[in-house]
This record gives sequence, structure tokens and C-alpha cells, in this order.
Amino acid sequence: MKTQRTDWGRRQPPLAGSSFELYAWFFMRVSGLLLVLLAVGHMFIMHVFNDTLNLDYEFVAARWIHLIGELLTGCF
Amino acid sequence: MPNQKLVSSGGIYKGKTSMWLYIFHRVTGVALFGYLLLHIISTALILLGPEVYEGAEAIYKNFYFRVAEIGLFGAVLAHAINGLRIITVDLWRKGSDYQKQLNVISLVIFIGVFVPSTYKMVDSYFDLCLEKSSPGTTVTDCIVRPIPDWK
Repeated sequence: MKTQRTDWGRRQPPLAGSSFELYAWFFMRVSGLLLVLLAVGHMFIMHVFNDTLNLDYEFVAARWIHLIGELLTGCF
Repeated sequence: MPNQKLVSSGGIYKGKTSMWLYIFHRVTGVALFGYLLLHIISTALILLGPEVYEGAEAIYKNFYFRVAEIGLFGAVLAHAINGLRIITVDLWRKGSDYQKQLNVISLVIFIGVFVPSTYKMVDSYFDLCLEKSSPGTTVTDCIVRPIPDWK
């Protein structure tokens, strides 16, 4: 494949180097899928479905208690 | 090349829109990382108790921060959708043949999610501001004052 000067923005996978390079490249893409769910989900829960004007100590405490409760329910 | 089967086999980015999106992804990535540090610090203040935490949160509750919040939401959403576009181009065998279509689809999804969310965030700001503030507060008061009179 001929590489031209205008191609500097390309994202060609690092096939020629060690396989670590390639798996690092691959990890960036797969972990991105997880981040989309976690980060965008968090933004929707905190900023769209709830409003940050209602954010206080109680709200955060309730979220933690809910999380811990769910985890314990899942364990037993 | 032994690893060729793992990735897209088509063409590569050749400037124009895809390259600007490459730069956009770097810029929003660094900006969001910077915000993440601030966010961890201000969220960790909750360990010092309700007074300290809610005192710090009160600063975030003025209208200027609501505008920044919408910008933050847009940056996260755009970075996420663009990331999915990059994954599609790089890992789908035919992805790089459909770059133009993927760019358009990404933009349509972004606008379709961002516009209604922005409307909700602005609308709910004034609803809650008028509800929580002392009687006689107007919409203009909600916009101009640096720190709201509730926590």
C-alpha cells in the first residue's frame, strides 16, 4: 500500500510492529464500547433524567445505598 | 501480515471530513480528561461532609454552569458517537468504503439526541430555579445571579 503525504490523519492499524502494539490498538476500540455505555449512561442519569439542581448529599448517599443493596441482593 | 484478519481491509482515511473528525476526537478527548480531574476533586469533597459538598455544589448551580453542562454533555455525546464511528470504520471489513455515509449517520444521531436533551436541561433549570428560590424571583434573576439562594 502506497502511503501519501495527505494520509497523515489515517488510522492504519500497527500491523508491522510487535503484537503488543496491535492489541493495544484493539483494546482502545473495545474498551470504547464499554465507556460509551458507562459515560453516556452516567450523563443521561445525572443531567437529563435527573437535574443537577437536585444534587445534594442525600442524593449521592441514596445512590450508593442503592448500589450496595443491589450488589448484596445479587450475592445472596 | 499475520494479524491482517483482525481489522478492516479497505482503504484508509484520506483527509477532509474524516481527518477533521480525527482532530476533533483528540481535542474533545483532552478536554474531557481535564474535566474528569476537576470532577473527581469536586465529587471527592463529599467525604468532608454535607456542608462542604453542598457548598461547593452551589457554585455549579448557577446558569453559567448550566450552559457549560450542556457543552459537557455535547462533548461526551459527540466523542462517544464519533468513537463508535471510528470503531466501525476500523473493525468492520467494509467500514472504510462507507466513510461518508457513516459521517452523516453520526451527525444525525448526534443532533437527534443532543437537541431534545438540551431542551430538557434548559427547561428544567428554570422550572426548578423558580420552584426552589424565594418568592418574587424572576427568570432574569435565575440567569444573572452568580450563586443561587438555595443549596
